[in-house]
Amino acid sequence: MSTASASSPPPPTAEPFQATYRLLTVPFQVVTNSRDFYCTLDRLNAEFRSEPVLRPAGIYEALAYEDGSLWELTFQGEELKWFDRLIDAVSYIEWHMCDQAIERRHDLLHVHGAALATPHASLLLPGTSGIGKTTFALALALRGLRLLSDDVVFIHTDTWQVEPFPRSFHIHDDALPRLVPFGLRYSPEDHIGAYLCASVLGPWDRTPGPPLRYVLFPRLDPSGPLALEPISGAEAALELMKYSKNLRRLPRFGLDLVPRLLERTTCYVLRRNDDLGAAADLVLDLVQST
Amino acid sequence: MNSAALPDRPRRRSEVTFQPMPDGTAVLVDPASGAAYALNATGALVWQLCDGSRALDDIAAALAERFDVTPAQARHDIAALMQTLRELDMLEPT
Repeated sequence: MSTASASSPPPPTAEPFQATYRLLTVPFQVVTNSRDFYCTLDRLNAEFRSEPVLRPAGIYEALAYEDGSLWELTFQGEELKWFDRLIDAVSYIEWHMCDQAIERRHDLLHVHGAALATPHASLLLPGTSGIGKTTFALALALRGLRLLSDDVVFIHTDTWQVEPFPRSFHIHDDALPRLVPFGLRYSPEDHIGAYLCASVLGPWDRTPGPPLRYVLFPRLDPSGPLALEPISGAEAALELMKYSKNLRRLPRFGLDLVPRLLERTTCYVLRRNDDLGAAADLVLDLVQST
Repeated sequence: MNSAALPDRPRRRSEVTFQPMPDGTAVLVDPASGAAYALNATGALVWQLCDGSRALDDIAAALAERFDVTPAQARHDIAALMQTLRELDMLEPT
């Protein structure tokens, strides 16, 4: 993203555009003098759209200068960043809002990864960006699993249910054609910068998923074999500590929680290669046998 | 591996976090560094027995009985684990 500073005063304030978004029950208000910004952010954040609230947790301002060639972003009245491209400004607000919501919900366990569900069981796929996690999660969703969350998964540690988080998908352009055979259909308006709008999967069910039943740790080797391999409790615990943003912040590094999770879940290493369909079939056979 | 260099009655560092898992394996976390390590079921039992009161032969006997291995195999496994634990600074100095 590029940044710059304004040399001229802000334009006369027309009637601002306002919207409220609720992420993980945390409400944010966004105010902007730009219809383009408002429409673009609203498409990206459509699944989080909410009624206005009296006291939002945070207020963002996105001010367009010089006919939209410069953008100033603020949060709670403090300067955040400047951008010279609309899409970069929108993406930044989207990311910042998610980050702020996540910081306010440490009552939930956060794990980098994706989560999906059958009617009876939820599946957690921990993993960092860049290993094809989003592509694989979308493939599974297009094959019939309910997608609960991508990028960060939020888990209720009393019930082990997953909180749905319908954030737009950060996905590489070269991954999209791979999902067309799975039935992915989207319009140009759904593809905003590096994001694919969450609405491409249809309306999101906002109820928490069923309790976690499977944890699959993906390992991508494009030319390697496809396999589900058992993993010990201790190794699964180490993986969860690696992929969780807040487990280690708990007393005893959150290790008291992990045995409770492992008692109710079956854990595997999922060795994947480039055959997305075969990997999806393997996982579907596993989770749909419940 | 030179087992004669190992402590006679090994004692685990009390500040190290030990968490058993449902399948008998366990995790160790060094709170000073945040480093975490996985122990298999054998290692988990050995760790729990390293309280400073048991000789290595006693620990080996317990291991042999629990996992149905020969005492020689148990002593070999313990020696390897003790070496690793010492390198990771998980044992009290002798």
